[in-house]
Amino acid sequence: MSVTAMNDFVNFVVDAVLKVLLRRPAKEEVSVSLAPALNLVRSGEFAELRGRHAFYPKFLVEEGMKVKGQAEGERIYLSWRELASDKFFEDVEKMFEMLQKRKQ
Amino acid sequence: MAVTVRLQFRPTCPRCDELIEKLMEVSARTGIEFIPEMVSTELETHLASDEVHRTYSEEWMKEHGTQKQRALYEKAKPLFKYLEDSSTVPVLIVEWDDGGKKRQIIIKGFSQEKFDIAVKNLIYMISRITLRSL
Repeated sequence: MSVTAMNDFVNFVVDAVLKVLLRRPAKEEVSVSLAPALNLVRSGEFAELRGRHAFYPKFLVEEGMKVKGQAEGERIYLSWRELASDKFFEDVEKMFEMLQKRKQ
Repeated sequence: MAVTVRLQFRPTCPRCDELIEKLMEVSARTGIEFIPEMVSTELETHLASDEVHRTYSEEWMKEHGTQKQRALYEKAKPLFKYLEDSSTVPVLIVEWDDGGKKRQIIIKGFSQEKFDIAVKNLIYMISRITLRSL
């Protein structure tokens, strides 16, 4: 087999493979509501989608998450007597140490 | 970090007036935001409640209370129910935003004993939150 024949053969094979890989389905089975969103995603313009999600965000809550406990954990209840005690400085320092540990 | 100090008070509470006067003075000197909030069902049609009295409820005790508090609740149930219905004023709330999380320190009650020390401690605490000397 000559070199030119070899080249032709390789080109033919590559073209065939690319045709298979880059083919488009003749008819897409997509519901009417999803079609415009999919077109936007394909064209690379996500701005509209992004805006929609910004106004209607979805929050995922995993199973076993204690939302109530976390919200309550942010509060510290003290009495006036504790505030007026002389050892209050030490308590405040301890509290901020704990907060920094939680952050890390 | 922005710190706000809120005081929940009733119009028929002489101790609240004293505390409001002092906190107004502190906010004028230090620049801390101070908001007095009226909590009473006497003048308003809707139910206004303070931050503390719900901590006497059975639900709160079961969810967030310690073992000692739960045991005490079972012993003195009628007393706690009376406290749950009534409201305790003044309630002082120091509130700040810590990296997107809202943190609160809620101080309940008031007494004239060691009043100056308490105010000094309060200012120290706020300066520790804002990381600047007031």
